[in-house]
Amino acid sequence: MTSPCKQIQEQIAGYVDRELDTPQVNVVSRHLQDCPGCAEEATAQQKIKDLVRENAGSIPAPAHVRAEIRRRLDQEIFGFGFWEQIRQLFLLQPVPAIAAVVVLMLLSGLTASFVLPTQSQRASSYGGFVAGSIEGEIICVDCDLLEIVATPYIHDAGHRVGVRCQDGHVWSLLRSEKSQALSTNMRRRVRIVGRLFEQMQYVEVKEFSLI
Amino acid sequence: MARKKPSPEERRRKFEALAFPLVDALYGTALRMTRRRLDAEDLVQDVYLRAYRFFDKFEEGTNFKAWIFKILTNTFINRYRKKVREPQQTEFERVEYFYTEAEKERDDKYETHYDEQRYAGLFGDEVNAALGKLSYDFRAVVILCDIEGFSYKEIARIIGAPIGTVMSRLSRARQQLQNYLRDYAQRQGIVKKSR
Repeated sequence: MTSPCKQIQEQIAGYVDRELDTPQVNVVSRHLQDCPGCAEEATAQQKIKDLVRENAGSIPAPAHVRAEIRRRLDQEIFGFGFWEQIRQLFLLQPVPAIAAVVVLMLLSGLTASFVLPTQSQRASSYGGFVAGSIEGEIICVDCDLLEIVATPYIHDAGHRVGVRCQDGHVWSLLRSEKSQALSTNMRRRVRIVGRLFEQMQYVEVKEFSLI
Repeated sequence: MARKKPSPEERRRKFEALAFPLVDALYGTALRMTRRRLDAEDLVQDVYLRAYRFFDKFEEGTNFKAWIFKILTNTFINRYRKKVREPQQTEFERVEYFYTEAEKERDDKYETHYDEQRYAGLFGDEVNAALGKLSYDFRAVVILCDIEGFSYKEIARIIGAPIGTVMSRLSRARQQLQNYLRDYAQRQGIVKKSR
Protein backbone atom coordinates (compact mmCIF):
# COMPACT_ATOMS: atom_id res chain seq x y z
CA MET A 1 0.00 0.00 0.00
CA THR A 2 1.48 3.31 -1.02
CA SER A 3 1.35 6.35 1.16
CA PRO A 4 -1.44 8.19 -0.71
CA CYS A 5 -3.55 5.05 -0.28
CA LYS A 6 -2.97 5.20 3.46
CA GLN A 7 -4.33 8.72 3.58
CA ILE A 8 -7.28 7.85 1.40
CA GLN A 9 -8.13 4.76 3.46
CA GLU A 10 -8.62 6.94 6.49
CA GLN A 11 -11.20 8.93 4.60
CA ILE A 12 -13.06 6.09 3.00
CA ALA A 13 -15.58 5.83 5.83
CA GLY A 14 -16.28 9.54 5.48
CA TYR A 15 -16.61 9.10 1.74
CA VAL A 16 -19.05 6.22 2.13
CA ASP A 17 -21.07 8.11 4.74
CA ARG A 18 -21.06 11.29 2.62
CA GLU A 19 -19.43 13.21 5.43
CA LEU A 20 -16.55 14.76 3.45
CA ASP A 21 -16.66 18.26 2.03
CA THR A 22 -16.54 18.74 -1.72
CA PRO A 23 -12.75 19.20 -2.15
CA GLN A 24 -12.12 16.07 -0.07
CA VAL A 25 -14.69 14.09 -2.05
CA ASN A 26 -12.97 15.14 -5.28
CA VAL A 27 -9.58 14.00 -4.01
CA VAL A 28 -10.96 10.65 -2.90
CA SER A 29 -12.99 9.91 -6.04
CA ARG A 30 -10.03 10.81 -8.25
CA HIS A 31 -7.89 8.37 -6.30
CA LEU A 32 -10.53 5.64 -6.43
CA GLN A 33 -10.63 5.86 -10.21
CA ASP A 34 -6.90 5.18 -10.38
CA CYS A 35 -6.56 2.67 -7.52
CA PRO A 36 -8.49 -0.61 -7.72
CA GLY A 37 -7.43 -1.58 -4.17
CA CYS A 38 -8.92 1.48 -2.55
CA ALA A 39 -11.96 1.34 -4.81
CA GLU A 40 -12.56 -2.20 -3.65
CA GLU A 41 -12.21 -1.09 -0.04
CA ALA A 42 -14.76 1.66 -0.57
CA THR A 43 -17.22 -0.77 -2.14
CA ALA A 44 -16.70 -3.23 0.69
CA GLN A 45 -17.33 -0.55 3.32
CA GLN A 46 -20.46 0.53 1.54
CA LYS A 47 -21.67 -3.07 1.43
CA ILE A 48 -20.96 -3.58 5.13
CA LYS A 49 -22.79 -0.39 5.93
CA ASP A 50 -25.80 -1.56 3.93
CA LEU A 51 -25.64 -4.97 5.52
CA VAL A 52 -25.68 -3.53 9.02
CA ARG A 53 -28.50 -1.19 8.13
CA GLU A 54 -30.59 -3.96 6.60
CA ASN A 55 -30.16 -6.16 9.65
CA ALA A 56 -30.73 -3.40 12.12
CA GLY A 57 -34.31 -4.54 12.64
CA SER A 58 -35.67 -2.66 15.61
CA ILE A 59 -36.22 -4.59 18.81
CA PRO A 60 -39.27 -3.32 20.57
CA ALA A 61 -38.66 -2.58 24.22
CA PRO A 62 -40.69 -4.96 26.42
CA ALA A 63 -43.90 -3.50 27.78
CA HIS A 64 -42.69 -3.79 31.35
CA VAL A 65 -39.73 -1.54 30.54
CA ARG A 66 -42.08 1.19 29.43
CA ALA A 67 -44.20 0.66 32.51
CA GLU A 68 -41.16 0.80 34.76
CA ILE A 69 -39.99 4.03 33.14
CA ARG A 70 -43.38 5.60 33.78
CA ARG A 71 -43.36 4.36 37.35
CA ARG A 72 -39.93 5.81 38.02
CA LEU A 73 -40.88 9.13 36.50
CA ASP A 74 -44.01 9.25 38.66
CA GLN A 75 -41.90 8.55 41.69
CA GLU A 76 -39.40 11.16 40.63
CA ILE A 77 -42.05 13.78 40.16
CA PHE A 78 -43.70 13.09 43.44
CA GLY A 79 -40.49 12.74 45.39
CA PHE A 80 -38.45 15.47 43.82
CA GLY A 81 -41.36 17.76 43.00
CA PHE A 82 -42.60 17.74 46.56
CA TRP A 83 -39.32 18.87 48.10
CA GLU A 84 -38.78 21.27 45.27
CA GLN A 85 -42.11 22.89 46.08
CA ILE A 86 -41.23 23.10 49.77
CA ARG A 87 -37.92 24.72 48.84
CA GLN A 88 -39.68 27.21 46.59
CA LEU A 89 -42.11 28.00 49.40
CA PHE A 90 -39.25 28.89 51.74
CA LEU A 91 -37.56 30.99 49.07
CA LEU A 92 -40.65 32.92 48.07
CA GLN A 93 -42.56 33.15 51.37
CA PRO A 94 -39.97 32.69 54.11
CA VAL A 95 -41.89 34.30 56.97
CA PRO A 96 -45.19 32.39 56.68
CA ALA A 97 -43.31 29.18 55.90
CA ILE A 98 -41.16 29.44 59.01
CA ALA A 99 -44.16 30.42 61.09
CA ALA A 100 -45.99 27.35 59.81
CA VAL A 101 -43.06 25.12 60.79
CA VAL A 102 -42.97 26.60 64.29
CA VAL A 103 -46.72 26.04 64.74
CA LEU A 104 -46.37 22.50 63.48
CA MET A 105 -43.53 21.82 65.89
CA LEU A 106 -45.52 23.17 68.84
CA LEU A 107 -48.55 21.16 67.83
CA SER A 108 -46.54 17.99 67.40
CA GLY A 109 -44.92 18.58 70.80
CA LEU A 110 -48.34 18.85 72.40
CA THR A 111 -49.62 15.83 70.56
CA ALA A 112 -46.58 13.84 71.49
CA SER A 113 -47.10 14.33 75.19
CA PHE A 114 -50.60 12.90 74.86
CA VAL A 115 -50.15 10.32 72.22
CA LEU A 116 -46.65 8.91 72.51
CA PRO A 117 -46.56 5.58 74.30
CA THR A 118 -45.41 5.21 77.86
CA GLN A 119 -42.76 2.66 78.71
CA SER A 120 -45.16 -0.21 79.26
CA GLN A 121 -47.21 0.63 76.20
CA ARG A 122 -44.07 0.53 74.14
CA ALA A 123 -43.29 -2.93 75.47
CA SER A 124 -46.69 -4.11 74.38
CA SER A 125 -46.10 -2.67 70.92
CA TYR A 126 -43.41 -5.32 70.47
CA GLY A 127 -46.15 -7.91 70.60
CA GLY A 128 -46.47 -7.46 74.32
CA PHE A 129 -45.35 -9.74 77.09
CA VAL A 130 -47.06 -12.44 78.98
CA ALA A 131 -46.38 -13.77 82.41
CA GLY A 132 -45.37 -17.35 81.98
CA SER A 133 -42.70 -19.94 82.34
CA ILE A 134 -40.23 -21.70 80.11
CA GLU A 135 -38.07 -24.77 80.53
CA GLY A 136 -34.81 -25.46 78.83
CA GLU A 137 -31.07 -25.68 78.85
CA ILE A 138 -28.91 -22.75 79.90
CA ILE A 139 -26.53 -21.77 77.15
CA CYS A 140 -24.48 -18.85 75.97
CA VAL A 141 -26.24 -17.36 72.96
CA ASP A 142 -23.00 -16.06 71.44
CA CYS A 143 -21.18 -19.38 71.81
CA ASP A 144 -24.16 -21.12 70.28
CA LEU A 145 -24.24 -18.80 67.26
CA LEU A 146 -20.52 -19.11 66.72
CA GLU A 147 -20.88 -22.87 66.76
CA ILE A 148 -23.64 -22.70 64.18
CA VAL A 149 -21.60 -20.57 61.79
CA ALA A 150 -18.58 -22.75 62.59
CA THR A 151 -15.97 -20.04 63.01
CA PRO A 152 -12.98 -20.39 65.31
CA TYR A 153 -13.65 -16.85 66.57
CA ILE A 154 -14.20 -16.54 70.33
CA HIS A 155 -16.46 -13.72 71.43
CA ASP A 156 -14.67 -11.40 73.79
CA ALA A 157 -17.42 -10.15 76.10
CA GLY A 158 -18.73 -12.39 78.85
CA HIS A 159 -21.21 -15.11 78.07
CA ARG A 160 -24.66 -13.94 77.06
CA VAL A 161 -27.01 -16.21 78.93
CA GLY A 162 -29.99 -17.73 77.19
CA VAL A 163 -32.29 -20.67 77.48
CA ARG A 164 -32.83 -23.19 74.71
CA CYS A 165 -36.22 -24.82 74.92
CA GLN A 166 -37.17 -28.23 73.66
CA ASP A 167 -38.94 -26.68 70.64
CA GLY A 168 -35.60 -25.20 69.55
CA HIS A 169 -36.40 -21.60 70.44
CA VAL A 170 -33.73 -19.70 72.29
CA TRP A 171 -34.75 -17.07 74.79
CA SER A 172 -32.31 -14.38 75.83
CA LEU A 173 -32.37 -13.21 79.41
CA LEU A 174 -32.94 -9.62 80.33
CA ARG A 175 -29.91 -8.66 82.44
CA SER A 176 -30.64 -8.66 86.12
CA GLU A 177 -29.25 -10.12 89.33
CA LYS A 178 -31.32 -13.24 88.74
CA SER A 179 -30.00 -13.75 85.24
CA GLN A 180 -26.44 -13.30 86.52
CA ALA A 181 -27.04 -16.07 88.99
CA LEU A 182 -28.10 -18.33 86.13
CA SER A 183 -24.85 -17.82 84.25
CA THR A 184 -23.03 -20.02 86.73
CA ASN A 185 -25.22 -22.96 85.75
CA MET A 186 -24.26 -23.43 82.11
CA ARG A 187 -25.60 -26.56 80.41
CA ARG A 188 -28.01 -27.18 83.28
CA ARG A 189 -31.74 -27.53 82.74
CA VAL A 190 -33.79 -24.80 84.26
CA ARG A 191 -37.35 -23.66 84.72
CA ILE A 192 -37.89 -19.90 84.60
CA VAL A 193 -40.93 -17.96 85.67
CA GLY A 194 -41.24 -14.37 84.56
CA ARG A 195 -42.38 -12.03 81.85
CA LEU A 196 -41.93 -13.33 78.32
CA PHE A 197 -41.44 -10.79 75.54
CA GLU A 198 -42.44 -13.12 72.78
CA GLN A 199 -41.58 -11.18 69.70
CA MET A 200 -38.12 -10.31 70.98
CA GLN A 201 -37.58 -13.72 72.56
CA TYR A 202 -36.47 -12.14 75.82
CA VAL A 203 -37.32 -13.28 79.32
CA GLU A 204 -37.30 -11.19 82.43
CA VAL A 205 -36.47 -13.67 85.16
CA LYS A 206 -38.63 -13.49 88.26
CA GLU A 207 -37.81 -16.88 89.70
CA PHE A 208 -35.95 -19.91 88.50
CA SER A 209 -35.31 -23.41 89.62
CA LEU A 210 -32.80 -25.95 88.35
CA ILE A 211 -34.30 -29.23 87.27
CA MET B 1 -35.29 36.20 38.52
CA ALA B 2 -34.73 33.61 35.82
CA ARG B 3 -37.42 32.74 33.32
CA LYS B 4 -40.46 31.05 34.72
CA LYS B 5 -40.00 27.35 35.30
CA PRO B 6 -42.56 25.11 33.66
CA SER B 7 -44.91 23.25 35.97
CA PRO B 8 -43.99 19.62 36.72
CA GLU B 9 -46.91 18.44 34.60
CA GLU B 10 -45.81 20.54 31.66
CA ARG B 11 -42.23 19.38 32.04
CA ARG B 12 -43.31 15.76 32.16
CA ARG B 13 -45.58 16.17 29.12
CA LYS B 14 -42.81 17.77 27.09
CA PHE B 15 -40.33 15.14 28.13
CA GLU B 16 -42.63 12.26 27.26
CA ALA B 17 -43.46 13.71 23.88
CA LEU B 18 -39.77 13.87 23.01
CA ALA B 19 -38.45 10.81 24.78
CA PHE B 20 -41.07 8.11 24.59
CA PRO B 21 -40.99 7.62 20.83
CA LEU B 22 -37.30 6.72 21.28
CA VAL B 23 -37.77 3.81 23.68
CA ASP B 24 -37.25 1.16 21.01
CA ALA B 25 -34.21 2.86 19.52
CA LEU B 26 -32.64 3.29 22.96
CA TYR B 27 -33.48 -0.25 23.99
CA GLY B 28 -32.07 -1.69 20.76
CA THR B 29 -28.84 0.20 21.22
CA ALA B 30 -28.66 -0.72 24.90
CA LEU B 31 -29.14 -4.36 23.95
CA ARG B 32 -26.44 -4.22 21.31
CA MET B 33 -24.07 -2.52 23.74
CA THR B 34 -24.68 -4.59 26.88
CA ARG B 35 -25.55 -7.79 25.00
CA ARG B 36 -27.81 -8.83 27.85
CA ARG B 37 -31.50 -8.32 28.10
CA LEU B 38 -31.62 -7.49 31.80
CA ASP B 39 -28.70 -5.08 31.58
CA ALA B 40 -30.29 -3.39 28.61
CA GLU B 41 -33.57 -2.97 30.45
CA ASP B 42 -31.78 -1.55 33.46
CA LEU B 43 -29.73 0.78 31.34
CA VAL B 44 -32.70 2.18 29.45
CA GLN B 45 -34.67 2.77 32.63
CA ASP B 46 -31.69 4.55 34.12
CA VAL B 47 -31.26 6.67 31.03
CA TYR B 48 -34.85 7.87 31.18
CA LEU B 49 -34.56 8.83 34.80
CA ARG B 50 -31.31 10.70 34.24
CA ALA B 51 -32.61 12.37 31.12
CA TYR B 52 -35.65 13.52 33.06
CA ARG B 53 -33.52 14.88 35.87
CA PHE B 54 -31.33 16.80 33.48
CA PHE B 55 -34.14 17.78 31.17
CA ASP B 56 -33.69 21.44 32.20
CA LYS B 57 -30.24 21.29 30.66
CA PHE B 58 -31.61 20.26 27.29
CA GLU B 59 -31.76 23.23 24.94
CA GLU B 60 -35.04 23.34 23.12
CA GLY B 61 -34.71 23.19 19.38
CA THR B 62 -31.52 21.13 19.46
CA ASN B 63 -31.45 17.44 18.61
CA PHE B 64 -33.13 15.60 21.45
CA LYS B 65 -32.28 12.17 20.08
CA ALA B 66 -28.57 13.01 20.06
CA TRP B 67 -28.90 14.44 23.55
CA ILE B 68 -30.51 11.36 25.06
CA PHE B 69 -28.12 9.04 23.21
CA LYS B 70 -25.26 10.91 24.80
CA ILE B 71 -26.78 10.14 28.17
CA LEU B 72 -27.10 6.50 27.14
CA THR B 73 -23.45 6.34 26.10
CA ASN B 74 -22.22 8.05 29.26
CA THR B 75 -24.32 5.88 31.51
CA PHE B 76 -23.14 2.78 29.72
CA ILE B 77 -19.50 3.79 30.00
CA ASN B 78 -19.80 4.70 33.66
CA ARG B 79 -21.41 1.43 34.48
CA TYR B 80 -19.76 -1.16 32.28
CA ARG B 81 -16.34 0.25 31.55
CA LYS B 82 -15.74 0.46 35.26
CA LYS B 83 -16.44 -3.22 35.52
CA VAL B 84 -13.88 -3.97 32.85
CA ARG B 85 -11.20 -1.72 34.30
CA GLU B 86 -11.52 -2.76 37.90
CA PRO B 87 -9.06 -5.67 37.86
CA GLN B 88 -6.14 -3.26 37.42
CA GLN B 89 -4.55 -3.22 40.84
CA THR B 90 -1.17 -2.73 42.42
CA GLU B 91 1.32 -5.57 42.40
CA PHE B 92 0.83 -6.27 46.08
CA GLU B 93 -2.92 -6.56 45.76
CA ARG B 94 -2.46 -8.73 42.74
CA VAL B 95 -0.45 -11.25 44.70
CA GLU B 96 -2.90 -11.07 47.56
CA TYR B 97 -5.84 -11.82 45.37
CA PHE B 98 -4.10 -14.08 42.93
CA TYR B 99 -6.47 -16.95 43.32
CA THR B 100 -9.67 -14.97 43.32
CA GLU B 101 -8.45 -13.04 40.29
CA ALA B 102 -7.65 -16.22 38.44
CA GLU B 103 -11.05 -17.57 39.28
CA LYS B 104 -12.69 -14.34 38.29
CA GLU B 105 -10.91 -14.30 34.98
CA ARG B 106 -12.09 -17.79 34.25
CA ASP B 107 -15.63 -16.77 35.06
CA ASP B 108 -15.31 -13.67 32.92
CA LYS B 109 -14.11 -15.71 29.98
CA TYR B 110 -16.98 -18.06 30.44
CA GLU B 111 -19.38 -15.16 30.71
CA THR B 112 -18.07 -13.46 27.60
CA HIS B 113 -18.40 -16.61 25.64
CA TYR B 114 -21.80 -17.25 27.10
CA ASP B 115 -22.87 -13.69 26.33
CA GLU B 116 -21.73 -13.94 22.76
CA GLN B 117 -23.70 -17.09 22.23
CA ARG B 118 -26.77 -15.72 23.90
CA TYR B 119 -26.42 -12.45 22.07
CA ALA B 120 -26.21 -14.20 18.73
CA GLY B 121 -29.38 -16.03 19.66
CA LEU B 122 -31.04 -12.80 20.67
CA PHE B 123 -30.94 -11.34 17.21
CA GLY B 124 -30.65 -14.57 15.32
CA ASP B 125 -28.53 -13.17 12.53
CA GLU B 126 -24.87 -13.18 11.69
CA VAL B 127 -24.54 -9.46 11.22
CA ASN B 128 -25.60 -8.63 14.74
CA ALA B 129 -23.48 -11.46 16.06
CA ALA B 130 -20.46 -9.94 14.29
CA LEU B 131 -21.35 -6.54 15.69
CA GLY B 132 -21.33 -8.07 19.16
CA LYS B 133 -17.71 -9.13 18.69
CA LEU B 134 -16.47 -5.57 18.17
CA SER B 135 -14.99 -3.64 21.07
CA TYR B 136 -17.32 -1.17 22.77
CA ASP B 137 -15.77 1.82 21.03
CA PHE B 138 -16.10 0.32 17.58
CA ARG B 139 -19.53 -1.10 18.19
CA ALA B 140 -20.81 2.24 19.42
CA VAL B 141 -19.83 4.18 16.31
CA VAL B 142 -21.29 1.56 13.96
CA ILE B 143 -24.58 1.51 15.85
CA LEU B 144 -24.80 5.29 16.02
CA CYS B 145 -23.87 5.79 12.37
CA ASP B 146 -25.35 2.88 10.46
CA ILE B 147 -28.30 1.89 12.62
CA GLU B 148 -29.37 5.14 14.25
CA GLY B 149 -28.31 7.35 11.37
CA PHE B 150 -26.47 10.04 13.30
CA SER B 151 -24.09 12.36 11.48
CA TYR B 152 -20.38 12.34 12.31
CA LYS B 153 -20.79 15.65 14.08
CA GLU B 154 -23.55 14.24 16.27
CA ILE B 155 -21.60 11.06 16.96
CA ALA B 156 -18.57 13.12 17.90
CA ARG B 157 -20.64 14.95 20.48
CA ILE B 158 -22.32 11.79 21.72
CA ILE B 159 -19.11 9.88 22.36
CA GLY B 160 -17.05 12.95 23.18
CA ALA B 161 -14.35 12.42 20.56
CA PRO B 162 -13.17 14.45 17.56
CA ILE B 163 -14.80 13.85 14.16
CA GLY B 164 -11.54 12.44 12.82
CA THR B 165 -11.64 9.76 15.51
CA VAL B 166 -15.22 8.90 14.62
CA MET B 167 -14.23 8.44 11.00
CA SER B 168 -11.18 6.31 11.67
CA ARG B 169 -13.05 4.15 14.17
CA LEU B 170 -15.79 3.57 11.64
CA SER B 171 -13.25 2.59 9.01
CA ARG B 172 -11.54 0.13 11.28
CA ALA B 173 -14.79 -1.20 12.70
CA ARG B 174 -16.10 -1.92 9.21
CA GLN B 175 -12.85 -3.65 8.30
CA GLN B 176 -13.22 -5.88 11.34
CA LEU B 177 -16.82 -6.58 10.44
CA GLN B 178 -15.67 -7.59 6.98
CA ASN B 179 -13.36 -10.13 8.57
CA TYR B 180 -16.02 -11.51 10.88
CA LEU B 181 -18.53 -11.67 8.08
CA ARG B 182 -16.17 -12.99 5.44
CA ASP B 183 -17.96 -16.31 4.98
CA TYR B 184 -21.35 -14.78 5.18
CA ALA B 185 -20.36 -11.99 2.85
CA GLN B 186 -18.77 -14.31 0.33
CA ARG B 187 -21.95 -16.28 0.19
CA GLN B 188 -23.68 -13.03 -0.62
CA GLY B 189 -20.84 -12.13 -2.95
CA ILE B 190 -20.15 -8.71 -1.54
CA VAL B 191 -16.62 -8.73 -0.21
CA LYS B 192 -13.34 -9.04 -2.03
CA LYS B 193 -11.94 -12.55 -1.84
CA SER B 194 -8.65 -11.90 -0.08
CA ARG B 195 -7.13 -9.13 1.87
